[in-house]
Amino acid sequence: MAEAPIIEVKNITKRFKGLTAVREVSFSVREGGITGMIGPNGAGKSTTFNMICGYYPPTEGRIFYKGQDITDKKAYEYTNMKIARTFQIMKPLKNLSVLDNVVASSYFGHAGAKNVKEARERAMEVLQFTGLYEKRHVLSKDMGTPDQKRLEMARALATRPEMLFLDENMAGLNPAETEDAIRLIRRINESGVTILLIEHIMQAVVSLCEEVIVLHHGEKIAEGTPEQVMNDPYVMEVYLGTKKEDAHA
Amino acid sequence: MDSKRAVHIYHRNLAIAVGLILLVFALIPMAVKSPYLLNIFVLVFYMSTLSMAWNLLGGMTGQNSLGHAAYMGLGAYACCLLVVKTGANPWLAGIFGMVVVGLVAGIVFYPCFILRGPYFTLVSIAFGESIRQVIINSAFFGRASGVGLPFGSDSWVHFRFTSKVPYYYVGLLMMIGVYLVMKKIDRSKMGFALKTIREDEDAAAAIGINPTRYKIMAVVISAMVAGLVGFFYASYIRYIDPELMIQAKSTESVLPAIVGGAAYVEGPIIGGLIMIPLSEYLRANFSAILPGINMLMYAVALLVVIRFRPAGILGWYMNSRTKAFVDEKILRKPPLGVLEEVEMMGYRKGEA
Amino acid sequence: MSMFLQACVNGLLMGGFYSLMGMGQNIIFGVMKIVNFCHGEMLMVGMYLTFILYTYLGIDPYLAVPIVAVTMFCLGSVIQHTLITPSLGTKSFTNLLFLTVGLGLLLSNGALVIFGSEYRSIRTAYSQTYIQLGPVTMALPRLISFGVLIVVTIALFAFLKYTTIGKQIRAVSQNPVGAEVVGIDVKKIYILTYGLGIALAGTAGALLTQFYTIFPTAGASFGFRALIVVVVGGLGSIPGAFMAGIFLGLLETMSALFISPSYSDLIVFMTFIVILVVRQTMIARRK
Repeated sequence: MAEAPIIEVKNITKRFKGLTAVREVSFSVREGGITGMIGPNGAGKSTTFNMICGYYPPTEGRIFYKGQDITDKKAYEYTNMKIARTFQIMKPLKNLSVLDNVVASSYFGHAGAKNVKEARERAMEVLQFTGLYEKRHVLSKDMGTPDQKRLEMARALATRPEMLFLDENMAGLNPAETEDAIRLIRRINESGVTILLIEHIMQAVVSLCEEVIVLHHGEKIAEGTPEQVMNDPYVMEVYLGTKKEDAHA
Repeated sequence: MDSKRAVHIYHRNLAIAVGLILLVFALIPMAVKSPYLLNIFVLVFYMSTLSMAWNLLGGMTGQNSLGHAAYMGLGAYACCLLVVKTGANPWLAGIFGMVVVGLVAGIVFYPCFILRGPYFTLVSIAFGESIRQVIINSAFFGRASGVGLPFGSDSWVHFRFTSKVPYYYVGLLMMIGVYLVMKKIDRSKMGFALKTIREDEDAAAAIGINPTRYKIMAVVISAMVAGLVGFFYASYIRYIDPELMIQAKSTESVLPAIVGGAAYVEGPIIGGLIMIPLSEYLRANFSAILPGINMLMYAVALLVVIRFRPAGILGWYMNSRTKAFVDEKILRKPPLGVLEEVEMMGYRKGEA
Repeated sequence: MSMFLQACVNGLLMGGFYSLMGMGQNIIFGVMKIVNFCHGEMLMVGMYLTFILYTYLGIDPYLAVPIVAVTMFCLGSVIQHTLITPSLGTKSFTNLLFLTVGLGLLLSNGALVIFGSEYRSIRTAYSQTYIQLGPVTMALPRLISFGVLIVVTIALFAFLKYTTIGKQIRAVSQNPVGAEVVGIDVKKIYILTYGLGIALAGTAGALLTQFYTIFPTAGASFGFRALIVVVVGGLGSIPGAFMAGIFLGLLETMSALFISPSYSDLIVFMTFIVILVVRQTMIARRK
């Protein structure tokens, strides 16, 4: 399958006042698939993510989406380009109900709802899809972690993205909740959304991702299928040695 | 009972309740003749409106401005000066005043929107004081002596009356009108954008909301409504001076919203209805012996609310058993699921 | 030329007060991340306290300073403990903002109710003494106040830098969660910090009584200038607050001298707005 990559990252570097968080990282994400980014804490995964999502610009390097240079695009222009993201530190709209959270985002993006009716209908649909329908009237600040994580995804989905960035969506979930999250992500992918995710939970990475990129100290040290990556001696030395314990956590 | 019928009955009950309240307010001037009491109502109307204007920016968008009296003052000045210098009709001058305030707010705050939280508040204070200083120092604006509106006989065209009754009705209409506008915004795309910005600006950007654009819209609308109140005030009191824009007045404009519940569009109205008559009563009866007692009471109320019921009076009410009782027994409100179901049915019908 | 020098000195001496207020505000904002909107009113309370001590107990204002400082510290601690800490949990900036605004309203109107709106003043034997230094005339009380300010600044700076509690305060201001993890009693630090900030405001008030009239809203302009000082001088920086206060005082007297006295307020505010916007824009760009 020689499809053009949907996301192409070329030599991006991020320097923060003397600290180089990310150094000349390049990779591409195949359209239609699920790609994962893993690495020990501090490897630069979130920084890379934030650069690709327009949260802050790379010090050097360029980012392409479907061939178009999006390096300088501002964060709020992304949903118009059919790109959505979730946040690692969850940002529920605390004082709004679950329904209102999703209604809010239904108004925006390239296919933003034109009126209340459309927004609410789309919100209900997304809530059904993500399994939050029953809890739609609960205030989002009163929900537990797994539900808040699903709300993050629901909000992102309501903007009808083609490309979804998931930032550690499974941190803090127990095994059963992790399985649920994996199923949901697969369903999202099957509905036609390309996914790039950062994850620590190896079980999820292995079962979901067809391609994995490994970062360490701000540099890409390996990429390939999960099997290839897990058997890479350097990766094992640097990362998976500690990871095996974490996967059982 | 059939869902649709249940919802229909609820809406009917709600309409009756609201209608009754409006009727009471419409009839008050017939029963109450004392200008002092009527004045209190007028005060409630325009202060609540000003507070609603503030609340669009403060409660809904999360940007707390402590300089809103300046917008009201600027609107009043723009309007009065146009009338005095060119003899223009006050109503048109009022619109002119609103536009001026909107422009000034939008232009000045455009660069200031990088500022969040406390910094925004500080700039709003500085900006408010700056406007006041400009006016005090400018002969064109009448310096400290202020500007008076021309005298004359009662007239709707010139919006001047000796009796307080017409002002009562205009004030009531203004408050209701602004309320409806704010309610509409609350439920619209812009309302959701503002609330999202309030909760989390980063999440807002991730969804696709341009925070600066919406904040400016909020500031401009908020300022324009404040300008409208300025126009009303000027027409009512017939005289304005820089005292109108002192810091204390800005703070006063915020109190009804906080006490009533800043998260709700109705908050400032409830807060105003409760606090302003109380404050006026204290001021009229006690300020000779104990000056400042009315504001002291206001301050105590504010502190008590923030400490114990930070969501304000409405915030408390919305979660209270009293509301549950009222909803169930008096209004016969069906459960949320039923309301939704009927709403959705309505949508689908519209599609066909 | 002599007018210029006089303006410089006046600006310096008054700026000292702004520094003092700014430092107190700075500590509070730095540690608790709340803007203390009643700082000006606390200065006013300090003034009235000094007035009471002088009028009814015959205590000289300068001797009263430590008494006032301690009393204000206690007042601040109580307020912090009963009102502010419980509201900190709501993490709502609006709440905390209006809490301190409400306190300010309470204090200024309380003073109005208790003392009435008449202007009061304290005049001691030396309040009318002037010192001549070349072309420049200085009122002795202002000079003494400036001296006290220098002492307080150095003491504060040393306290924060070298004492254990001072380091704890700085730790909490940088990372409250981390500080707690390390075993610092964050609640206690909050109480201490707020009390300290209020004590500084009260001290400024006590010092002011010698040459400034006392009335319920006397603190308002100082309160706002304290905020300007904090913002301009940089958060968490005692030397910064010191310099910003002096700068503010000079800006006032210079604009009064070169442009017009009635415009000095306006110029101060506009300068503040410009500095703030420019600074924040630069911070945002750097990202």
